[in-house]
Formats: sequence, C-alpha cells, structure tokens
Amino acid sequence: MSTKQKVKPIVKTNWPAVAWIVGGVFLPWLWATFLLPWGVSLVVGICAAGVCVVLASQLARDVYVPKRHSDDNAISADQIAKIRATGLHTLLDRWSSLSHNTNTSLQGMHGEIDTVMGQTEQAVINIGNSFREITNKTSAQMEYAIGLLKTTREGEIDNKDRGAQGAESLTDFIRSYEDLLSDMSNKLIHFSDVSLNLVQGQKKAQQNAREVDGLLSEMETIAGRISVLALNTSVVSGGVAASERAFVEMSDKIRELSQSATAFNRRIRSHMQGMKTDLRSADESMATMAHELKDVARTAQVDVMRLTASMRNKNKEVTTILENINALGEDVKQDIYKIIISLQFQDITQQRLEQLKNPLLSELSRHLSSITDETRVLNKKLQVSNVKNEPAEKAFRVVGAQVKPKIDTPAEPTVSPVPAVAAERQQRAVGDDIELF
Amino acid sequence: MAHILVVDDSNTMRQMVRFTLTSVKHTVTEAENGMQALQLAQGGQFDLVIADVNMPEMNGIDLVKALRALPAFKFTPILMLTTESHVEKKQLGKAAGATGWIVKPFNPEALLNVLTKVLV
Repeated sequence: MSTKQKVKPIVKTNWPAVAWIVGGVFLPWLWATFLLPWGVSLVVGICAAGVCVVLASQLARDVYVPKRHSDDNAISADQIAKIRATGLHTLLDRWSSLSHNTNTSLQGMHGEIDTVMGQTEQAVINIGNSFREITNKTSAQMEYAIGLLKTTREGEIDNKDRGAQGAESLTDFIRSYEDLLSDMSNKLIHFSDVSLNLVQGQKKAQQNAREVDGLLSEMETIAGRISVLALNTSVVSGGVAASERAFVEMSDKIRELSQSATAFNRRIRSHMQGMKTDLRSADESMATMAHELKDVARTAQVDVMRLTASMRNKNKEVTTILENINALGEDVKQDIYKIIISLQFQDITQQRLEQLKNPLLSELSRHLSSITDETRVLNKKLQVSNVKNEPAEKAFRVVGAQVKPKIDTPAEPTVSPVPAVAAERQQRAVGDDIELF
Repeated sequence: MAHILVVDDSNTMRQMVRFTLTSVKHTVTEAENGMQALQLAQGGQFDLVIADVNMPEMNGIDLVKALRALPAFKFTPILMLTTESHVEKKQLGKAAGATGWIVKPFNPEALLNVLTKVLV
C-alpha cells in the first residue's frame, strides 16, 4: 500500500465558489420564472438545481484536491504525519523524561518513607516492649515490696510457734517480739507476786525476831533474878539456923523462875521454829523464783537469739530484695532511655523527610506546569495550522521556537536524598559522638 | 540544681531533653528557635544552654554568637545538640563560642555525664 492511499484526503468546501455557481445558475432561473409557464419553470428549476449540485461538488473538489497535488511548496500528508509524529514524540519524550525523573525521585522518597515507616514501626515496637518491660519490672518491684510488708505464710505458722520457727516477714518478726515481750511481762508479774510473798515472809520473820528479842530480854531479867536469889541463898546458907523457912521460900522462888525460864525457852523455840519455817519458805520461794527466773532468762535468751538470727536472715532477705528492687529500677531507667533514643530516631527521620518533601514537590510542580503549558501551546498551534492550512512544519517550528527555552529536559530534582538515618545511626553507638571544646 | 535553657524546633526533642534533665531535678525552660531563646536569655539567667543548630528564624550558631555577646552569658556553658556531625560545622560552633557538641540521637546517660562536667 502506498503512503497516499493511507492518507485520508482532507475535503474542504470552497464556499465562495459554491455561492458563485449557485448564484450564476439560479438567478437566471429566477428571472425566467416570471416569463415562462410554471411547468416549464419547475422543470428548468429542477434541472438548474441538479446542475448546481454537480457543479458545486465538482468545483469544491477541484478547489482543494488539485491544489494539494499541484503546489510544490505545500507539504505532503506524509510529511505532515511525520512532523506531527516528531512533535508528539518530542513531547512524549519530555513527558517520559519528566515522568522518569519524577519516578526516580518518588522512588527515593518512597524508600525514605519506607525507612521512616520502618523506623517508626521499630520505634513503636521498642517503645511497646520497653513499656511492657517497665510494667513487668514495676510489678515485680511491687511484689517484692509487698512481700516485705505482708505475711506471706501467715496461715502456715501458729502465732505461738512463730517465734520458735523464725519470722517469715517483718510482720512475723514484730508479732514474735510482741509475743516474747508479753510472755516476759507475764512472768515478771508472777515474779513480783512471788517477791511480795517473800517480803511478807521476811516481815513475819522480823516479827518473830522482835518477839525473840523480847523473850531474850525476859530471859535476861529472869537470869538476873536467879543470880540475886542465888546470892541470897548463899547469904542465907551462912546462917542455916536463922531461918529454915526463908530458905524454903527462896527455893520455891527459884523453882518458879526455873519453870518460867523453861516456858520462855519453849516459846523461843516455837518462835525460832516459826522463823525457820518462814525462812525455809522464803528460801524455797527464792529458789523457785531463781529457777524460774533462770528458765525464763534462758528461754528469753534462746528466743532473742532465734529472733535475732531470724532478723539477721530477714535483713539479708530485705537487702537482697532491695538490691533486686534497685536493679529493677536501673533496668526501668535503661528501658526509658531506650524509649527516648527510639523517639529521637523517629523524630530525626521525620524531620529529614520533611526537608526532602517540600523541595521535591515544588520542583515536580514547576516541571509539570511547564510541560503542561508547552503541550497546550503545541496543541493550539496544531489546530490553527490545520484550520488555516498552514504548513504543519511551520507550526511546529513556531511552537518549538517559543517553547524550547522553557522545555529543557527537567533536571533531576535537586533535593539531596535523605540519608538512611536508621542504618547510619545504628552503625555507631548512640551518644558516642560527644565533644567538649 | 541547675536552670537549663533548651532550644530546639522539634517539640519531641525538647520533651526528650526535658525528661532527661528533670529526672535529676534540673529546671528546664524551652524555646522553639534562636530568637525566642535570645529573648528568654535577655530576661533571665540560666546555668546552661542546650541548643540545636538547624532552626528557623535564628540558627544555633548565630544564637551562640548572640548569647556570647551578652555579659551574663559570657561564661555560661552552651552545648550544641544536633544531627550535624561534620567537622566543619563543629569548628563553626567552637569558633562561635560553644562549649560542646553532642550529636543526636543522644544517650540520656551520656548527656547527664556531660552536664556534670560542664556544670562544675
């Protein structure tokens, strides 16, 4: 197939020529209708109309087609098509170039957005993990702290035996000490009662001693009287003859005194017996109390030693728990630091992306606007050239001359790509880059 | 405890620095840019200034120069806390009168260690 057969001819009606033909044929017919019979006029009119149609169509074709083939300066349909194709190709090239550059930039931006999203996701995961760790550790701290204050095995140990078995918690320890002190005070009350009894016994013994003193005084008096009587007896015995009667009387007196002394002796013995009993009782009480005191002291000593040992263990336990709590606190602090660092990564990346976004978008907008204007102008010129039948090459030349300065191939966006913040930062230890001048 | 002026255009970063500093009982005042920081500095006394470099209105380097021009801030420690890690930038900061240069993201523990050194 030839190129000419491919090109569809452009048929354009030459309206002035048509007007001349129609006017040249119909005006005489109109003039004739006034002079000829109506049947003849009708037939002539139909014939004239047919002639007009044939002539007009012929003339219209003659006006356009011969010109196309006969004009040496005109451009062939082939050339028009080529020129159009070239223009469109150039334009599409520019669009393609812009699209490619934009696509490259957008890919870069997409990559950065992916980085940011990844970084944000990682930050969120880190933060979530850190918060979970913090929660767990805080819970553990609370449990440790509660364990210090609360009896954890309260139901397992009888209160009385708590001291003997050793305190399981501070509460246990305090309760055991209370029990021990209560027991000791009960025993002290008992010892006070025993001491009171002892004091009463001693009072009785003192009373007995005083009575013995009185009896001894009487004994001394009786002894004095006896010695006087004995002296009198010696005197009287010197003059036996003087009076036998008086001697008998003195003997009676001595017997009475002797009986009285015996009675006193019995009473003294009785009092002495009482004193012995009281003293024995007091001695027994003292011995009992001493034994009890010794037992109480020994028990108290054992209990105190046990409680002290228990307290020492408890102190160790408390120290360990406090160390654990402190260690957990330190872990929590490190977790919070991790959150701070994660948030910083996210913030820095976000800022970098923000810095990238605005120049990229403005650059893209500028290029799109330029190429859209260029396309619009080109399209308009093509339409005009077709309507006026101007050589299409001229139209393209004009468009190219006007637009060329504007349609330089869009440069690569001038925005520097965002550095892969995450990768860059992760490669070095955080917080290492510190310099004091 | 010290009164510290924190200058950064990122609210997140300011909050992170505030959290770190207040955890050891320092008092923190915040500014969003160099100009605002300068106004605050003219109206009060601070023991330390921590400033970002890239900020709108007035950048960190200009802020250091402006602060050093104030008699009250002639010897006040000024730390730059920035993502910039180039030697040239550090030299600019040093020439302007900055006391130290910390690259973001900062480790809170390291920041507190630096503070103990410069606040002596």
